[in-house]
Amino acid sequence: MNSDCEKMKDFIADMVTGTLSQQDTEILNQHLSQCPACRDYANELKKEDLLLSELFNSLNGEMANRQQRVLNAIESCSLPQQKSTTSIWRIIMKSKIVKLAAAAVIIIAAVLVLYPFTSGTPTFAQVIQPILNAQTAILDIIVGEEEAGGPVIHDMIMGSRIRRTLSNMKSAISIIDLEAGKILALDTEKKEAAYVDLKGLPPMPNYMEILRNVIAGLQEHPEFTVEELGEREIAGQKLIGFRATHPKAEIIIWADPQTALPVRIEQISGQMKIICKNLVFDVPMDETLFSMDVPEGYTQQQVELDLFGATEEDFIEGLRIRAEVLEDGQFPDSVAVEDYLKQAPAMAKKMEELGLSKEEETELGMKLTRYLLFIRFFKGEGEWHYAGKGVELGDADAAIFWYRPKDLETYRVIYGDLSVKDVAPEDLPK
Amino acid sequence: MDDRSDEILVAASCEGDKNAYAALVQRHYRHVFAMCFGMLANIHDAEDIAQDAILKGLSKIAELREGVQFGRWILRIAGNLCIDLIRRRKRIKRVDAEYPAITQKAINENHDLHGAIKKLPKELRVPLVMYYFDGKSAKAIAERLNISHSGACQKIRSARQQLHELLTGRL
Repeated sequence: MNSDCEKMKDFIADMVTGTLSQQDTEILNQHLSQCPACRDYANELKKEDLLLSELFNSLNGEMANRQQRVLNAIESCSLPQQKSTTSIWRIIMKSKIVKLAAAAVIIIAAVLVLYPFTSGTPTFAQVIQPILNAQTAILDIIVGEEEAGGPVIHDMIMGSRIRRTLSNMKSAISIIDLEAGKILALDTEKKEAAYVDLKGLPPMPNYMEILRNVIAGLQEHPEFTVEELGEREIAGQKLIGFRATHPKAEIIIWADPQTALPVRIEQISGQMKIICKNLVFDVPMDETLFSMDVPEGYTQQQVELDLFGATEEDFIEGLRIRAEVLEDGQFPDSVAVEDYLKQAPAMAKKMEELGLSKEEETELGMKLTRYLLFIRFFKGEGEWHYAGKGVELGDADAAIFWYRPKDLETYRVIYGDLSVKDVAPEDLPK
Repeated sequence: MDDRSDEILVAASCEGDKNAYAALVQRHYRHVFAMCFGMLANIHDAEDIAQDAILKGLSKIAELREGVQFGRWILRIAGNLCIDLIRRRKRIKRVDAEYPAITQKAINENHDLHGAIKKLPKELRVPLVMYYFDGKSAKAIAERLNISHSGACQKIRSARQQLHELLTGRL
C-alpha cells in the first residue's frame, strides 16, 4: 500500500456503506484499478458487509414476534389518567409563543404573572394594567447584571412589530415582524439588509392582544405565588415591588407607588437574568420606523433561522469558530448570552478583517447565531456549565462544557478538542 | 398501519387512547430494539430493555412536550435504561428453549462477527447496529441520534474499519 491508500481506506469503507460521493467514487475506482492491496481490502469489507446484512436480517426476522410481545405487555397496562383540564401554564410554557416572547420582547416574561391581590397601596393588578391596555411601548433591556456594563437593547413596540437597536452596535437596526415571522436586519453604515425567516414561529397578529390573553389565563394557575416586597429606593426613585414565582421563572416588578406604573421588571429564567427598565406606554409612534421594506440603496440577502432547532453540534461548531477563527486558538472566557452581546462588536470587527465574501460572512454569522440559540433556548435539564476560559483548542484532556440532556441521567461533556463523551454524574469535572 | 403523525398519536395517547400508543410502538419499536442491541450487544438484554423502555414511555407519555419528538425521546429513555443496566452489571439469563432456532443458528455461524461487534466501543456500535437494522440509511441514523449526517457517516465508517481490524485479528 502507498501513502494514498490510508485515505482510500476511508473511501472504501464509505463505498461499502453507500455513503461515498460520486466524485470520490471516481477517484476510488481509479485507485482500485492500480492498487491490488486496496482491491483486496475492498473485497474483504464487501464480504463482511454481506455477513453483517445476513446477521441483521436474521435478527430482523424475529422482530415481529418481539414487537407483538411488547404490544401484549401494553395491553395489560393502563395509560396514566390525564387531568380533565391541562394547566394553562403548561400550555403556555409548551407554546412557542411564550418562548419567542422571551426572545423577541423580554417584557412578555415580566407580565406572565397575575395574582388577585388586595392592599391599601397599588395592587399588582393595578401595576399590570398599563401593560394590559397599552397599544405601544418603549423600554430598555439589559441581559445579565446591570453593573456588568453590558450593552443595552432598546425596543420600540407597536402592534406586532418591534424596532430593536443595541447600544454597542450603533449601525445595527432590527425590525421584528411577529405576524410574518420575519426580521429585517439593517446595517446602516454598510447599507446592507437581510431578511431573516424565523422558522417554527406561529403568526401573532396583535402582540399586545396575545399578551392580554396569556395574562388572563394565568390568573387561574395554582402554582404562582406573589410576594409583596414593599417600598425600596432604586436608582434614586422610590418604588414598590412584587415578586412572582413559578417553578420555571422568577419575576420582580417595581412600580411607581403614586401612579402604579411599572418602571422596572427583572426576570430570572434558567441561567439568564433580564432587566427591563425605562418603560413607557402608549407613546405615539412613527409607523415608518417599523417598515419592513429595505431602504433604497441597500444590498439585500435572505436567510432562514430556526429559533428552536439549534443542536449540540451547532454549539460545538460555534465553539470551534470562536476559538479557531475569532480568538486566536483559545476558547472564549464565557458562553453566556450577555457576554456574547458584549463581545459582538469585537467579533464583527474580527470577521471583517478575515476578508470573507458576503456569502461566507453570512454563513459564519448564521453558524454563530445557531451556537448562541443553543444557549439561549437551552433544552437540557437544570444548568449548563462552562469551563473553557484559558483552554486552548485541541486540549483533549480539558472539559470545557457539560450539561444533562432531558430524560438522561448521564451528562454530555465537551472537551477542548471538541470531542464529546457521555459521563456519569459522579465522574463529572470538579 | 395507522398513518397519523407522531404528534397526533402522542396527543391521543395522552387522552387515554392505547391504540394510539400501540401505533407509536409499531412505528418505533425496531429502532428502540436496535439502539438497545447496539448498547448492550446481547439480544436477550436488548429485548428486555426495549420492552422496559416502551412501557416507561407509556407511563411518562404525558411529560413529552413535543409529540413530534417521540422517536428521539423514546430512544433516549432506552439509552438511559441501557446505561442503568450496564452500570448494575446485571446478567439476565433466559432459558433459550423457546428462542427461535434461526436466530441462534445465525449467531453461531457468525460467532466471530457477533463477538467482534460486541468488542466495538458503544459509540460506534450503536450507529453501526442501527444502520444495519434501518435499511442502511445514514441520514435516518443521524436524525434518530440527533447528530449530523456527516457525523453519522463518520461513525459508521470508523465502526466498519474497526470491525474489520477485529475480524482480521489486528485489534
